[in-house]
Amino acid sequence: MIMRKFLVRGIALGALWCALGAAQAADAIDASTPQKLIETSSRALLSDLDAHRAAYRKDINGLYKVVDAEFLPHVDVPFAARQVLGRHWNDATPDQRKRFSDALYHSLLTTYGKALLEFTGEQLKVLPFQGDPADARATVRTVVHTSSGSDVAVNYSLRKTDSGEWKVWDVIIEGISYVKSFRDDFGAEIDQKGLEALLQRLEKGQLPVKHG
Amino acid sequence: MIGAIRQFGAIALFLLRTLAAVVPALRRPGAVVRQVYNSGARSLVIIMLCGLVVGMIMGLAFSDMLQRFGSESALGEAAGFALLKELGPVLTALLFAGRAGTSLASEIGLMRATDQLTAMQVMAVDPMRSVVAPRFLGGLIALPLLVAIFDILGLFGTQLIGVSVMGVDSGTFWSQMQNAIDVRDVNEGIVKSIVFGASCTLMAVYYGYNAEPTAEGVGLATTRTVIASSVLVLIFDYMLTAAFL
Amino acid sequence: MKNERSLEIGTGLFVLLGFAALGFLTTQLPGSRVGLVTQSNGYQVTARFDNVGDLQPGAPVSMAGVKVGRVSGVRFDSKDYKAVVTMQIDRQYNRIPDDTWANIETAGLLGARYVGLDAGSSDTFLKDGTNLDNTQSAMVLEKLINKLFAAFASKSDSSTEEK
Repeated sequence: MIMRKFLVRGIALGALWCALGAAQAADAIDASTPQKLIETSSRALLSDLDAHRAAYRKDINGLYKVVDAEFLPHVDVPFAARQVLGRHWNDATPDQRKRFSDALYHSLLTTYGKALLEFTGEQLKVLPFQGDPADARATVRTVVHTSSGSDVAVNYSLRKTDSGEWKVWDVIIEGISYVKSFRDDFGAEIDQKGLEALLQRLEKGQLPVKHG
Repeated sequence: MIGAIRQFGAIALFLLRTLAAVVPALRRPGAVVRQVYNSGARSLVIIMLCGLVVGMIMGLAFSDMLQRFGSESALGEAAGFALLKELGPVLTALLFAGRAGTSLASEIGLMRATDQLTAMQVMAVDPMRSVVAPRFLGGLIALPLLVAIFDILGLFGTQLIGVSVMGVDSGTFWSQMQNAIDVRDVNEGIVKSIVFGASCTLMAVYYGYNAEPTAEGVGLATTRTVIASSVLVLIFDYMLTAAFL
Repeated sequence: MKNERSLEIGTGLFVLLGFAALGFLTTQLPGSRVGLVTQSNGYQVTARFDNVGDLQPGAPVSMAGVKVGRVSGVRFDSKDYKAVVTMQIDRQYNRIPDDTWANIETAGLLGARYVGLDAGSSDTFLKDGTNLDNTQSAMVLEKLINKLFAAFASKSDSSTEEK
């Protein structure tokens, strides 16, 4: 009798432990502050990659699905797209704007997805937050210690959307803003060949060779 | 050879005598002021003119050179350095030797030729105190001021040409110059101008004082002044540039 | 005979001029004082950068290659460790979108730094006191070269390891 009680309790406790453990393993992303968003997202990505790396190598779409589901909600792609187009945004139709935003995201994903797979056990250090917490803009600084021994400064530009959520919109690697780089390159291409030509190239998943 | 060594010795002794006479000479500031006027104010026009033209030449020459490296914006720095450290002091000193130096040498030489100096000595008026020292002080005070004026006009001339003819941005011109120039550089220019002032004036009063008491002698004195001043200026320029490196 | 007064006046003027020139050379030139840059009629905007290179006050602010203003001040904010650049934009350029990018650029290969503005698409325009939120810091040539060498070194290391 007593044994059974213990057993039931033991199983119940065990189940509770598992549930808690599972919740932790799910590595929920905390988007309350810019700092926490970057920290929790990086950890979540790393643990997911560690768990399913082999599977992703066989079929990268698995990774894409996870990125879409877990990380995309925290990236302000339409805002980034608008910054990349710059003054050409005003000349684009709403349909072209949507297409650009989607095409930019997908071509980035397919181009850098494979590189993401190599993101292993590198030391990621998120530096202390500096700045005014009341600002609607924030920069989170991190340092990636690569396997070859060098340190790369990777900063994230975030903004608070109208709904009060913090979202990432730019990555600045070693002082070079990627949104700005694309803005310059695409800008030149739009001047030469027009927005429609660029859109079609992006929709095929081709980014300029320079960023490969 | 021995003659040259004798000359150096004579000049050095003369310098010491002049310096000894400086303090008493200062008791009559009116005389010093007159000499500052003679050496300085009367050289003003030529110094300002040359300063402006040299600046304009630099504007043209440097802009052209710098354009080959795509660094036109460095014009302010380049002109500033060149003027403050080298061209300003050296060119002003050489011009000074030509204008004020020869004037001093011939003035004193004439006094020697007309026995005025001997007459003074007879009357127990020390010519070193009443003639040489005030002129030495006048030149010594005047040259650094002339150099500063030369520099300013030179910079103005460079900016004039650089901005209006070669298209350099005026804000960049001045800010790059300010950024690059150190107090050390300005001090170098000031020290040089003082040393050059002493040298040129000393040569002028020395050769004038020791001129042959003939018309020929006075002429020779002026020539020697210019040559000796120029050589001294260039030698000291090398030494001071090295010292400030 | 020279008039004593005119002599003194002449000398006085000369000495004054000389000292003014000296004063100018010793105080205005060294250091990074703006001094001679006159503030033209305009409105003031700011932008924050992680690195401004050697951008100086007095440097031009350009848009599409045309000078539209000047940098009036560069200071360091110890709260967020960024450089704050204040710019005076000419009053006639009053239709600059407020999402315009401010970039630190270099004039020529070894030239001076200046601020380049790249027009955005916003319907609201810059006015006195606005901050340009989108910026690109100066690219420091030496850092880039170092990174390049480091990249080559690691590539050659890994390729020799494979052998």
